[in-house]
Amino acid sequence: MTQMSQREKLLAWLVGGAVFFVLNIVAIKFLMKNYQTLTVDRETVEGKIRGLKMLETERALWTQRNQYLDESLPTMGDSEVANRQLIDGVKNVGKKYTITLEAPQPGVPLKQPLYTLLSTRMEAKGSWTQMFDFIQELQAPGQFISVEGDIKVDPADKTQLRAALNIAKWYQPELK
Amino acid sequence: MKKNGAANALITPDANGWRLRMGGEDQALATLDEALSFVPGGAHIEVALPCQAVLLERHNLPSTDQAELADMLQLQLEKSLPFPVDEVSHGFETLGNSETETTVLSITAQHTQLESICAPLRQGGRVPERISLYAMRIATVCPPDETVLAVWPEQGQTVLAIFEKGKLSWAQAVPFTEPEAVVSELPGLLIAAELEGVPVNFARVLVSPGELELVGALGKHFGRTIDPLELPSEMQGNLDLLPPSWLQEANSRESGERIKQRLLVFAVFYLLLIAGAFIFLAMQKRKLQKQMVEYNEMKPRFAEIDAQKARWKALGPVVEPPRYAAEIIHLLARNRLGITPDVEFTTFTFSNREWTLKGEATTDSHFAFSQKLKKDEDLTSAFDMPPPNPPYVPIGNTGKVTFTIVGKPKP
Repeated sequence: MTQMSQREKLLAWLVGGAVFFVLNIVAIKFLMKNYQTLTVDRETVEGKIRGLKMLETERALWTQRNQYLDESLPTMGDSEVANRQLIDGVKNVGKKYTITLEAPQPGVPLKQPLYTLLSTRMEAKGSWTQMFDFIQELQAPGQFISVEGDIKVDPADKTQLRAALNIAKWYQPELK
Repeated sequence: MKKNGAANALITPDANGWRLRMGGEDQALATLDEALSFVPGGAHIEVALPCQAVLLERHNLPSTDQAELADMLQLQLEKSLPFPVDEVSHGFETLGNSETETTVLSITAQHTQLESICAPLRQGGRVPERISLYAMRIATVCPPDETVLAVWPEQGQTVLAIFEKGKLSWAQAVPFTEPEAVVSELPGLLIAAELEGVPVNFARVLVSPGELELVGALGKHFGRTIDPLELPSEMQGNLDLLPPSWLQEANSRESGERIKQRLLVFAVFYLLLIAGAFIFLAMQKRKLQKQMVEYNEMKPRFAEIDAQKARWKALGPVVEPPRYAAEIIHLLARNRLGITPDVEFTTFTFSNREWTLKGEATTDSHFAFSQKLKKDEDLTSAFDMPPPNPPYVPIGNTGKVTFTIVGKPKP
């Protein structure tokens, strides 16, 4: 093999250096990317393990809550009867707090794997205090009633509120 | 330039080629290429030249000072040499001096001649660290108080050298090895030497061992016993005919080697670092796999709790009081207490997934209300309330603004 000239040596060094540099970039990028992915994955798994270990400490709490739901969450039965009971119940509470209820509409049961929902829509009118007390009593613990809706100040009388409410009663699931 | 710990290799002329002496071993080799193949990298190489490669001249110089002698010799060589003095390497040996005069023997080697002899070494990337004269090594085995004629073969020639008080005084190579031819040339050469002022009354005649025919012929010529010439081992004087440019070349090569070695060390260190990083990555991956196994083994034991938790979360709107509409209205309303002028709520929209409060207030009241909401732990622990953009919308020039606040149950 013939000896390389100075120029050829310089060229060889430049090419070798460039290849070394590129390989380095590739290797370092590969290492960094993998390290970051691994770090994120490890933190995720560690978080999950921590979560499970924490669950262990809460086992009694969740069992107790589940037992409470088993015992307390009502069963719907006939939907017409349930609808009537719900609307009557709401009307009674409305009467108690002098809330004017209009156009109550019976709902259709919504069956979910973890619960069954029966809701009724109606318009309500009253002062801030009356409305607050009305909703608070509807949602009293053990009633399993949720209230959704839109409450607006009446432009004609700013002491009065107008509300479009969707009042739902939650029951044991029928889908098992 | 000497490197400690490396082997010393001495290459001298042999009867038919070269002789390599290294680490107590001595072997005859046909060419320098061949000799080089036995010299390990990094060894210190000294080449002792044959007589035919140098020009030897006796000079009587009118000084006894060594520095002056060197300068005088330089001038003398400029006059006497048939080529420019900067194309030669030279040295000298002081043979004797009187009060005003010094007799020296100059040894001169032309660079082209040195390049030709040492070409195999230099092509192989090896530069000798010293170039000396083999005949001056022979001086070390000659008695220091006698005049001696030494005869030995050198690369197909025969060298006749006179040593005076243990120093090379005169030498001549004759281009044949046959004893008769050598003996026939001898009288003429000795007369020439005598004319130069070299003593020719020899106390001894030494011939290299193995030259039996030459011993016989010379014994007959001189009518005396011929003594064997021992092989020299040491160098006399400090003669070094290495051209300065070679020294620079060697230094540059050595510096290049040093850089290469450092680069190599760096490369090894760097590769170890990269390898270490890959090993670290592999260990991290293994650790992750172990954790995944641990998690997958643990998970079934918590399936029941998970299901219970999911059920509770699904029923959150009716079992978690902080998510009750009344509770949210209560928390929002309590935060506007004490703020003047009043913060008015105009619309409150709420569902199981989020609630939105719209209201009116002065800029200051709105700011105070927003700050109170942020500090209300009952609200912030149950709901995420992202800052609205824009935070408020001015109502004309009334000094009042409308605002919207949205809350979403935390997962």
